[in-house]
Amino acid sequence: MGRMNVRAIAIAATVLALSQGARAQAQDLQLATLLPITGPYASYAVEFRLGFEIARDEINAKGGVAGRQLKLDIIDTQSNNGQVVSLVRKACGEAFAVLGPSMSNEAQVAFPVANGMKCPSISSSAAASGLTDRNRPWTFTYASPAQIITPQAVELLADKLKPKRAVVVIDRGDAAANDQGPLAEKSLKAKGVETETLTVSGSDLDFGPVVTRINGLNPDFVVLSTTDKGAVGVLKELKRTQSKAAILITQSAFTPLVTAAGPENLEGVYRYTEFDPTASDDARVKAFIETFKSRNNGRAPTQLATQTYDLLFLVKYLVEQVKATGAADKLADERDAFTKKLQSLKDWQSISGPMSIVPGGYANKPVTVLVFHGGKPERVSAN
Amino acid sequence: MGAGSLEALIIIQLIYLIAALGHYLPLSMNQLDVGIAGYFAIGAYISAFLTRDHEVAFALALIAGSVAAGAGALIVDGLATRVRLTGFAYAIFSLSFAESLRIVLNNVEAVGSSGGLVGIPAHTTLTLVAAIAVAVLIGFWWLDRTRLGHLRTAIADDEFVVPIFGVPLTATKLMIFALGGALGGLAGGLYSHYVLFIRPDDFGFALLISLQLPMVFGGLDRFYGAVAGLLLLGFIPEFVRELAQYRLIVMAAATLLVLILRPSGLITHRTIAWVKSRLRGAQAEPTR
Amino acid sequence: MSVFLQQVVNGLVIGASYALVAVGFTLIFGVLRVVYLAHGAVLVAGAYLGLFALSWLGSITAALAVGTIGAALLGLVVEFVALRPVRQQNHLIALVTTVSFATIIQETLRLTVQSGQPISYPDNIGARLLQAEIAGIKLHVTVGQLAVMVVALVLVVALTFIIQRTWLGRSIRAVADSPLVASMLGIRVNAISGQTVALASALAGAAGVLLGLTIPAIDPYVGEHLQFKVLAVVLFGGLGSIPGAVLGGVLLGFVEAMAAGYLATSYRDLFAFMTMVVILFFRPSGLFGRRLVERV
Repeated sequence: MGRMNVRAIAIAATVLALSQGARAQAQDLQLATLLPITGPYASYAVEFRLGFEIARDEINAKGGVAGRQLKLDIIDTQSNNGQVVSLVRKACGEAFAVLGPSMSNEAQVAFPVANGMKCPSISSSAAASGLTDRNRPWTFTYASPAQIITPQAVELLADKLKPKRAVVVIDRGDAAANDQGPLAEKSLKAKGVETETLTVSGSDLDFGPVVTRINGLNPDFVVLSTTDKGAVGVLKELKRTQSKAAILITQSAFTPLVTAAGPENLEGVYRYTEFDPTASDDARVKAFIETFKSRNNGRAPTQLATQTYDLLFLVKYLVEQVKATGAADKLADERDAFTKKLQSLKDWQSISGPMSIVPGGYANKPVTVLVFHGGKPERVSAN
Repeated sequence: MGAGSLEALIIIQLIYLIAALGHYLPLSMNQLDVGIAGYFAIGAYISAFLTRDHEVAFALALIAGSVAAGAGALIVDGLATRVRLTGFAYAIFSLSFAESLRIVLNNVEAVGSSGGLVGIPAHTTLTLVAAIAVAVLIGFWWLDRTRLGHLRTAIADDEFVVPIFGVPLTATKLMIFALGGALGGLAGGLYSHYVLFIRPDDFGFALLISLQLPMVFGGLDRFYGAVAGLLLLGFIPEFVRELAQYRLIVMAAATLLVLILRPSGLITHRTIAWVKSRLRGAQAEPTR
Repeated sequence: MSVFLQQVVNGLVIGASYALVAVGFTLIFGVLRVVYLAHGAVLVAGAYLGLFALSWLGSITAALAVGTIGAALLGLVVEFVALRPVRQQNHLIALVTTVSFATIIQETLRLTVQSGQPISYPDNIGARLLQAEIAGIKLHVTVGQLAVMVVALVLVVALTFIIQRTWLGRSIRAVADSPLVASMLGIRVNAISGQTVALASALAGAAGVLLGLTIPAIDPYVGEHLQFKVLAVVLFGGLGSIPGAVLGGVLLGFVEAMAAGYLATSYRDLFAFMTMVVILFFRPSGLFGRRLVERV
């Protein structure tokens, strides 16, 4: 009888111990992201969100993060910066790490708050100059900022094409365009190219007037640093008027809308980006594109979607590396370890190639310059 | 919702309330000055510029922003009054100024143009905003009992009769307009030192509608309407998270429905009289 | 010189679009005399309807027909739901109800079509370039742009005919002059209001389709921005004046083309707003319109 009791107790104790361990392991990895699901910026959120969701589904289907299911809380900013402060505080209170905001202007509001709360925050795509530098050590961006990749791309093309006269077209009403345009102008002038700047407005109905003016200046190189609608409008008009200038479309100006302009209009047109999924041979990227298209009415993804997709895999890697368990009492320590690991990231195999994080808190990735031939983008090398 | 997050939400809603009350002043006199987004922007930018780049004390910067905004309102409304614009024309006039300001800001490098103004020092606290909001509400309640308040009501009732009683009509109106603009600027200054990053697109049509919709919904008859409207439409979405994608369309439909069925909005003077009579248990005669 | 003439042509094209939208807009203001800010959304709805028609039926004429009729029907609904109940109230109420309805239209489009991402009209004949040489100067215009000018002209003439020569037009003018007297004369003011908005919306729908043919892409918000500029045109020409709206529209298009062609262009939108300020200050009734200012 005593022996049976002891055995029973031993079995009960073992079962209890195992179930405790199982419960600790089964604790979900709670993440949060802030996106403009409603409001004027809602159309941008489509790609961001889909990239996150596809990654989350893939990760969970393959066993999650070290056995933990990945839960992503998608919070709507309502495209309203005034809401972001309270939402990021909520996110930092509930999640292990915050992935975002993805929009630069929302990140500008969120990052000081997150940094103050010692809450690791990684934006997938915010590329505003100086954003993460101002908010160390807890905030990061997965993207390469405009001040890095724009000069790289422009200088590459300036060396290759050796233009004599250039025109930079800027939409001052769009923050990203207004960031990248002057950078392009600066790079061109530094290379000794005679450069003029014209402005457009994204809400223009007719690009005839500005293109007539561009043609009047007779440039051999035109940089379009505008919104996607502006880029398509100017591009089509330039082609219609048989302009001979080489055309470069900036990263922010290029969206699937521009691809829809058609192979004829895009022939010989350059663009630069941190990454173009459709130009990649990687099998994993191709699979992602197919999944994405099936969930987005057949439209292909841009780097906006691959950034969020890959970011989730980066987080998975980091969490597994620091062996975070999600125990509530270990939160501060695990966040600290996570952040340090991220800050020291070197040559991690991202979806677009090896990626490192620099002291400023952003990603160092080589820029990709592409040219369109027959409707397909091809890599441009520096001669 | 965590404590820090709720606090932040309350702060921003109180800031909107202060701006809405500033917007209410001209509306209560039947002058459709809808340039509130512009006065808000003036206060936000000027106070931020002073604290960030010139190390001016926060209180002083706030006042400077309010005064500038009040001056802006004075100019816009002064011009409109001079030409005796009414109704719809007044609305377009003031809106044009507000939008023009936004376009200009988008082009001025010194304040960051479309990229915005970063690194604004954090000065806005819940205590401060709550204190100001309470003070403003008390001010409104008290205003109705002062001479200026009675003048405001008289102007709203029948503007053309007022000068007969020897009251400087234009001067009175302008004073109230300036006050409204100044409140908008004050709210703007509190806003910029709360979000710490502002850009011209924050102060466009969307801001105007987000202030006006709740006010019209709550009722323009008394200032309590603005308070009720903002409370309802500001906090309810927080607790109905599942709405997500449909938030805007539901709010628009709700507003439309309320206004069709009850164009005066939720709260009118009769509602207040009813509440008062319930509270006192006595017959309260609905007064104007 | 050829550059200048080309800019003139560009200006006429832009101006024709503005005029088409302005004519309907001014009619509504002249007759209903309330703030009406759902015109832009109706325009966009017309543009989207036209897009579907073009994708399924392949003909521009069909697209125009569908866009025009669909917009007219939508206009009837807007008048009934958002204007009729609140016409006697404070102008601000009508502003809020029409903006709310516009939001509903925009959000519906956003939730149903490509999640609100910009969408282009399918390739069509509108993109074909026509070139002409006049007195040795090369000018070009696309078929789509030509269509804008032609259709705008036809529709404006048709509308003027309706207003001046038909019984409906006479009723509209009567209501515009004085709703009270009109109702005493046996005119059903409510019905006329509805028909006026429907008529104006038809024009907006046509303008939307034409816009879709000429600009790179549409999204649910293109109407909003256009609306403000057209408001300037309407104020300039005078509320309720069709010739004023046409003149104003063409003039604004011209000014914008010149500004884009020769000046610092990022302030372009500023022109429209400052024009409104100046007009309202110096001549609130516009070129040909009724007074907006009350006198004792």
